[in-house]
Amino acid sequence: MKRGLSLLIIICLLLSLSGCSGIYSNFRELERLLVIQTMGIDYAEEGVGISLASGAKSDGSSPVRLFSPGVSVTSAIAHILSYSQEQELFLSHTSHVVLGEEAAKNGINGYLSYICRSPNLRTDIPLYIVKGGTAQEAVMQVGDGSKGISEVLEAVRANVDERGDSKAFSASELLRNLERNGSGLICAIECSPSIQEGGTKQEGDSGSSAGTGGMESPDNAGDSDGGGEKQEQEKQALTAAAVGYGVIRGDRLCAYIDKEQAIGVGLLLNIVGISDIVVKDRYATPVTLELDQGSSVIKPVWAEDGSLEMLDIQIKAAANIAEIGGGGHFGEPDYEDYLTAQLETAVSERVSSVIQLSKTLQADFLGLGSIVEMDDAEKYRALGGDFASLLPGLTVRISVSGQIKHTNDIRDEKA
Amino acid sequence: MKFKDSFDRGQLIALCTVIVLVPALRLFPSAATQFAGRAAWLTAPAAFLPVLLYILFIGDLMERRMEGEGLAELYIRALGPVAGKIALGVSALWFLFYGGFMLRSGADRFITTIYPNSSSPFFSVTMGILGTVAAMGAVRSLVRVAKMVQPVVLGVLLLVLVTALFSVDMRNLLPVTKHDILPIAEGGLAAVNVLTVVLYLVCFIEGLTPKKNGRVRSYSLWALGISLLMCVISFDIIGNFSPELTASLTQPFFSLVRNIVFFRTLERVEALVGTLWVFPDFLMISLLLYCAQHCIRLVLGHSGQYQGEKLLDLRRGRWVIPLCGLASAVASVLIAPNAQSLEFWSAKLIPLVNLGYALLFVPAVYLVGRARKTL
Repeated sequence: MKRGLSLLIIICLLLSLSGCSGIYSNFRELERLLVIQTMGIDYAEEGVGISLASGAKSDGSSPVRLFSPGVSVTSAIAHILSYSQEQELFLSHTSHVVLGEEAAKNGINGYLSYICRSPNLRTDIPLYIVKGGTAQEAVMQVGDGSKGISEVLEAVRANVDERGDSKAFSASELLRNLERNGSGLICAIECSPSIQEGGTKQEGDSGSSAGTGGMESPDNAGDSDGGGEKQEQEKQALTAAAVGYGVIRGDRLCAYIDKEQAIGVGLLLNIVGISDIVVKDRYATPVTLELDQGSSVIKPVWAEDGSLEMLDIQIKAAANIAEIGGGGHFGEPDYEDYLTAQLETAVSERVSSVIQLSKTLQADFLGLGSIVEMDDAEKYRALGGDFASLLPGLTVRISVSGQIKHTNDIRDEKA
Repeated sequence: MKFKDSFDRGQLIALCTVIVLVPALRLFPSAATQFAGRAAWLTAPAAFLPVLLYILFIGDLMERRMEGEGLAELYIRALGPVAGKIALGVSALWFLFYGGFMLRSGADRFITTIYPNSSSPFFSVTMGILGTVAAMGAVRSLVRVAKMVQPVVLGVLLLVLVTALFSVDMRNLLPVTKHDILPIAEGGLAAVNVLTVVLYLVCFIEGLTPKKNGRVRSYSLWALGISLLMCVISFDIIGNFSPELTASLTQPFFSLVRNIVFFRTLERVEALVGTLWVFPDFLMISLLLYCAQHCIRLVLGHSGQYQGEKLLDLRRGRWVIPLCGLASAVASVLIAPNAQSLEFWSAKLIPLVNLGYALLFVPAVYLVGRARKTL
């Protein structure tokens, strides 16, 4: 009996381990999978427009790009699969989600909910918003013959991590900020012509792009006007670059923060990279300061009656002199002090403008409420909970302590 | 030579550790967060005191057993043959129903983490068959399996928890104020639920262990360890996701695993980790089926214990065992046809019935037994 059972089990195991797809129903050939790395989401009349892009292929050919509208994200993806030549879309390695500006203006809760529910997508997937454009444009047109949006966004992410002038917040971070603070930030990117030499792509190289569901990319639409004949036409390739943040209030895009202001956001959120600030020295010569260290301490000041009197923001910023017109005047007394003061002023301006935007929009996208709550939860509770509504009338004191760490001048003894 | 199905307390506690991971990861993080928000990571330690009291109570009850008696036999002794058999019938029904729910929720975990768009009956019925085969054999095999898989499952769990610690955001966890005391106590009920189900279930097979001193101490230390483990689990999950997101996720632990990237190279390991949870599922379902058949066979006048019978030997009332497996499999198919209703069963109905059984039913049997001086 035991021997018979053992034999039966071994035969079953042999069959199931043989790789026969007929027995193991979840069997999938790797080369039949199209591994999607970037998903674009746009607002469309039907509901939503989904753009998908794979990564660059190992043989140097263009990434596959697909687009379809649909009543929902799921139906659009199903439509893409039905009308493309791909056998299976593999979404589990999606590394970036790009939102079109219109989609963000019309509300992003549904998309965030999809990302957090989906068994395929990770909740810590970074989100981007295309400033003044659509996700379709970014996904379908960014890149040259061998690189696509996925590679460009990888570079964008590495760049913002290093520079600190933006941050790719994840879907779960944004959802948390929206639930807790009523508003949040999302990394903004801009699609613009690449300045790279050879950064051109051929119009006829659209064999890897497919617009389905009756919608095509503007370039493809141009082709169809030409009676179906594709003319080889070189055009400037698009690239994507980080341009600060989009501010989401409620679940809609309400403003942008540009790259300059984004340095202020980085300082307030304590995510400082290496950013350049151009100031003028006492001889009106432009000096490029490389801000590479900085931090902020935000301290609520409570009145005796328990009300919030003001926010005291103390910022420390340290920079090196990266470039100076005319060689500088390091031998002169107070020259460095003057530059330090200029650094402090520049930082203060950026931080102030971000705080002012937060007050104007009544949007606590910096999470100031959480900081106040951490300081004294009881007093925060007494404020009534809706911190964003207190922002316009809140006094904020900003003090900046700057430091020039390194002049990079060989005559400078400190160097 | 007569087959002796026996094991020691250490093995039994290993079984407790493995099976407690099923509700600890499925029910606890979301349920506790719905009540206590960001303070939910404190609910498990807060639940330790009531669990300790329950261990003292169960300890006193099990102290009164004779050699070879488990909780089922104590029911009959405490309540008499008629009421005792009714109590056993009620218990068996609950175990079969709970087994069905475990099959269904285990299948749902497979669907949400590894095999999207699959149908749950396939997973439920497969696990039901495996559980039935295990329930037809010796309990000793189950506890040995638990002893073997315990280091693997705990090792993987700790690896995930330690890795996830690096991305914890303390703003998701603090501040905790005096206003959180009541929500923590409410959320603690979820932890009590998770621990009590294991504590009373193992009493049904405790008759197979020799009577030994130090029961309360052993189980108290076990409960303390598990409370701390649950504290770290919820600390990691809430610290990573925020309480708002945790409360809305159906499988927050496996979502956490999905996000983990090892050394910027290895990612999407949730299928591997999720597959490991087959073992706790299997042990839990096998134990439930064993307890159910044990109760029913006692009602029918047989001994519910395994005595070395062959797998297909259905004499001495063993025909009940496949029927129990069938009943649980049918229950798993019929209950919660979709994920929304499963959420209701998981978050509301099952915890409520379980708490009723643990905190009302078992103590009621004890009190009646004491009043009748049969315990």
